[in-house]
Amino acid sequence: MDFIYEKAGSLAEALKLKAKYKEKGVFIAGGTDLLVDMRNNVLESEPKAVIDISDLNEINYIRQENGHIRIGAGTRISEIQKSSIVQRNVLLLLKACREFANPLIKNRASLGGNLINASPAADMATPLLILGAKVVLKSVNGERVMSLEEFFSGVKRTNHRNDELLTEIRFNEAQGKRCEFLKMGQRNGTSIAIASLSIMFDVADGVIKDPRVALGSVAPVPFRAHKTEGALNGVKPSLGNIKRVGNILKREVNPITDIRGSSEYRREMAALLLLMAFQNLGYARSEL
Amino acid sequence: MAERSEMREVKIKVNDEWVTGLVKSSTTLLRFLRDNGFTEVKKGCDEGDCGACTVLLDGKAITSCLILALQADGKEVTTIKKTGDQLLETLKEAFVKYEACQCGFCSPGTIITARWLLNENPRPNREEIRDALSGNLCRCTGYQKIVDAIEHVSET
Amino acid sequence: MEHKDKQKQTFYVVGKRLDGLDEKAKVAGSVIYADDFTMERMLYAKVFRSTRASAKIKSIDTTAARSLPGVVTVITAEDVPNNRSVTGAVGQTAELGLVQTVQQLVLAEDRVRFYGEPIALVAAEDPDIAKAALKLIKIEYEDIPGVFDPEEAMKDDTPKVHGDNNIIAHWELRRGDIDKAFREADVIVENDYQTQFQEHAHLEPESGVAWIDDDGVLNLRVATQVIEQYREIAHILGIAESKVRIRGTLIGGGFGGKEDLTVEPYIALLSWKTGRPVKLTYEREEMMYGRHKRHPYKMRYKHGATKDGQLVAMEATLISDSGAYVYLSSWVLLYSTVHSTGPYYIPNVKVDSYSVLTNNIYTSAFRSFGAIQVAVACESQMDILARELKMDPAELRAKNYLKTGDKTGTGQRIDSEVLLTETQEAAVKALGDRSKPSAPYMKVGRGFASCWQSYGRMCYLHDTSSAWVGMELDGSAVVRCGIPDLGGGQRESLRQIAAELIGAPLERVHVISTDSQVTPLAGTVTATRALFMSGNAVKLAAEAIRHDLLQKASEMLGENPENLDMCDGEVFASRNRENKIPLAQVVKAIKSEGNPLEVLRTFRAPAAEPVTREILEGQIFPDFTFGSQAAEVEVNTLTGKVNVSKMVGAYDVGKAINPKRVEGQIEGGMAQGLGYALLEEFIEDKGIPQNVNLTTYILPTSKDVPDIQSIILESGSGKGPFGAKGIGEPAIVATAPAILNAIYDAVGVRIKKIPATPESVFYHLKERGERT
Repeated sequence: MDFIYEKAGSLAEALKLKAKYKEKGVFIAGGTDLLVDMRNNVLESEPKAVIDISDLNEINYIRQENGHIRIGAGTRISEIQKSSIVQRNVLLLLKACREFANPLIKNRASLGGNLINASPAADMATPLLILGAKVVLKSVNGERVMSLEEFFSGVKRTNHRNDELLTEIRFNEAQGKRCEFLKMGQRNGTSIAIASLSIMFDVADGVIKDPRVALGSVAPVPFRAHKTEGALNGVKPSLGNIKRVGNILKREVNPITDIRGSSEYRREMAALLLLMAFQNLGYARSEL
Repeated sequence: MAERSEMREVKIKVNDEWVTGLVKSSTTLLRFLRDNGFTEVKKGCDEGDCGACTVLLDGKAITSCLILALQADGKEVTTIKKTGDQLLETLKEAFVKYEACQCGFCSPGTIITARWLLNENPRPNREEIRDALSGNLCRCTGYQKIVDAIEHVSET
Repeated sequence: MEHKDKQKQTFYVVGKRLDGLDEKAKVAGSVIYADDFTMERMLYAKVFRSTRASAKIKSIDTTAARSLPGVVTVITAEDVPNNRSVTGAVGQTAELGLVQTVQQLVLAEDRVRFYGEPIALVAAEDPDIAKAALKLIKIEYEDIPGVFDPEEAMKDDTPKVHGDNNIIAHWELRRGDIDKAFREADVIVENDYQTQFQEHAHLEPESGVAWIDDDGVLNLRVATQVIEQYREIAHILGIAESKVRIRGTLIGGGFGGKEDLTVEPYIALLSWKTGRPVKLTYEREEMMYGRHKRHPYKMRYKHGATKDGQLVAMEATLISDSGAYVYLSSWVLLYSTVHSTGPYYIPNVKVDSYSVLTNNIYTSAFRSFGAIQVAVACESQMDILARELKMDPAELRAKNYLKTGDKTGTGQRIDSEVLLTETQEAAVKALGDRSKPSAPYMKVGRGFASCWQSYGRMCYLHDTSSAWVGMELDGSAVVRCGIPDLGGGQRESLRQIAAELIGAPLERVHVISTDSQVTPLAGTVTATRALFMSGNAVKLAAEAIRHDLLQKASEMLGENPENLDMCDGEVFASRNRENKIPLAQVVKAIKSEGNPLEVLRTFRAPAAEPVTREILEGQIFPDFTFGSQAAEVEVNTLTGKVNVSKMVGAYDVGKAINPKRVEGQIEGGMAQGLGYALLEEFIEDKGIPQNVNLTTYILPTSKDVPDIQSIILESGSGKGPFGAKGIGEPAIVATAPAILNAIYDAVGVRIKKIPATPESVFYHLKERGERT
């Protein structure tokens, strides 16, 4: 693989370089996905240039303002995990950080990189989908904001133009809600998820309110299971109900068979992770 | 065939010594280190799965096979051969005393990860030690004595 | 602190948890592993490999590769002087009897038989150019039907991988009257078991550098478990064996993966042809799809017992997948057959085993060498039988364990001590109180398994090991011994043994090892033989030196030699330490009288005649190591995921030369066993590899292995130095069945096919209808 290495000294420079190379220019931040893909020749085409944004302070931040949280796309997963803003306000994201690869990878991998790579198994995707996150895309021509849900367009595909850089992920605070992140891997250590689930909800008057459920590795993209959410809304979190909703979830997923697992197993796991999440939070343990 | 990019000069501080060299844009930090005599940094898989190539980059433990040498330009790399680092020496002694080193191939990476861990968290419990080590594969020891060695150092 | 021993009065060095010099060098980063070594004008090699599992090579065109600037040479089969000379001898010279040695090919000729088979070699000025050159080699294949299942491959009408028969080995155990025994048995248990391809996954890739020195000798500096392979290299090149020298490096893990030839033939050929040094280091993917694996086995087991738990009959059929070439398949099968009874006395035995060629990846040596597969079956059977009999599995086993004096399934008399009951009790006890489940959908279970594993090579190989010990004038010493060091501290054990016997401080004993032209050949580091063989060789040599030292010291101190002892560079009267003399003085006195105080000794293992019948009989191995392991697991009844929460391994190692190294072997073996039980499987689909990196081949990380407790028992009854047995391989054997038995205890499902992945356990649970 031979390409031109360009170091972006500023965000503006990064955008200029991207405008210059368009789809032939690839950004490198942590490099933990890109370098592996390059080594294994799985990129769609050899890039002409690699634009290094790994040191850009302008996209490396975690901010909390007026009930919103904004994370620069270049922020390392390890920094997100250590951030007191995240620890206090976004338990769900913290849980995902804990399950993310291993510390060596986390010290380099960026949030933006995980989302742009858009693996159906992307660990950071389901919590952010639950949080209703939006992504900010910048180019020399300006800025666009879209929902993360809209951003994922297919297996390892995202809706960004060939001159855009993902610069920020933003979402509202979500304190006080019940939440759980579950990742089912082939081992406890570094794993690509066989199936993963993020869930967030309130319980008021004994019933579930505002349920949000997102799954990874069971469809071409990480996705919000809206039908399942609808079925959970307003019901008691009992064992029977969660099992019943699990069957709805099973029909909502669209898994494949690969080296990590069969599609049938993944379908089963979707429902069982849902049950496990409720049980972990103290619900759905009996028929009452 | 793609046009060849030129070789570029890179300057990296490795264990207190500035090392200059010419690299291709695709040359990894791992390759740069090994080609420049820092063979204590091991190549186990070259794709970030095994941790044998772990070094500190500006104080953070990372797998050097997943970084372009050019990305490390002007930065500081620490390998297991760094002198004058008391904690590193203590860890090495503990690895020997506790027999945390059998074939030794994972040790340069594992000890660096341990060094980084104790900097972040001076008193980790065994679970935290295991979590910190989860990117460093060892096929010989079963991890038992590696955890023992690091725990011992953290307690003293 | 001192230990008493039957043979010696006190130990000063042996038996202590001393720090090793090699370990110090390793953590200092100063050890030069195979890939760390460079020479001037060195070329870099790459191997061009087949991408078909079964095909004819219609044509191969290396012109474009040769013309790439920076490529120095390209070699194919026709450039190899003796492409078919490699035998399956692996470091031995004795008659191999019935063991088939279908010749291996250095490079494929007109046909490829497995995906990854080496076809051509490239040497270039830098590794990137060599890699680019591979892409320029043009090859045309014509697919021919292949066979991918060993049972299929046994049939007459399936494609033949070599010659006219895919069955390349068959062994039998026959004892008593099996039909009568089953007729009279009160309970019969019959089941099928299956194990998978396992990858060694040593951290250090196969690697080496070859060059021709100024004496015209071809040198290979290579990570190898067998320096005797210099003979094979000489035959391949058609040169005298005395013109090839192998210098082994300290190895970054082997486990049997560096036992057969790896890079040696390729770097030898390229260096010989170009006249320049050549380095070859495998890439991780290449290691995954191009290098041998552990044999998958299909096993049918049938046990018969009386109602009070006496085993009366065992019948088994074993089928192993030899892959595309024989390599060590016949031997591995032999080990399986001998070990198939488990460590039990069974009066009526009938075992038939077969190893079968397929177009899968070739299979060969891997830690435990065939004993681990049968343990999965045998130890599962014992638990199943115990439940049928409504007996405690511990009690059932204790009733049937081999005892000293008993005869194994081949009629070999066990003459060392058997501490199986003690290891079983120790392992189970150390599990402590049963943990509580960590969530409502979790279930906790416990299981154990006992095992046996031979140490020392098969007796009919007439195994020997030599070592040289010499004293320096200042009381320091040099030990020369060919034994390679896999990372298990093989070399450090020799240092400790020598230091103990010659009275020198550990740091003043220098061990120079693993050089086929400089160090006496000590044989392979395989078959759990290193301590047994090379340890005994060093012991013999050091004892001879000790004898001379004590004789001279007795003159100088005026004490009988029996009343003298040595340690830390001093010789002294045992009853009065003040009556002492520096070791150096004694050495000087001896040497000045014309005794050079240098001794070469050869240790000979018990020998037997070559195997001439398929029925295995008599003393096959020198001896066995016995042990037990216990495990506690937590099974997620929703997902099927099994987490091992506690592990204990208890082994009688005879004598622990350095207890912390023994523990290290037990712990490392158990972690590999955990991977074998739950995580690891190299998968091929019609011979095409499906997982070729460490993201998709799942190894245990520090988060997958729990705290392991290792318990050492020392019967002192082994045939190794100071009564030692071996531990390297035994450590891995009992783990998988202990875990499988624990899974059954937790959720009542019997997994008979490993690895017990979450998906597998999930579907077993579903079938059983188990839910919280």
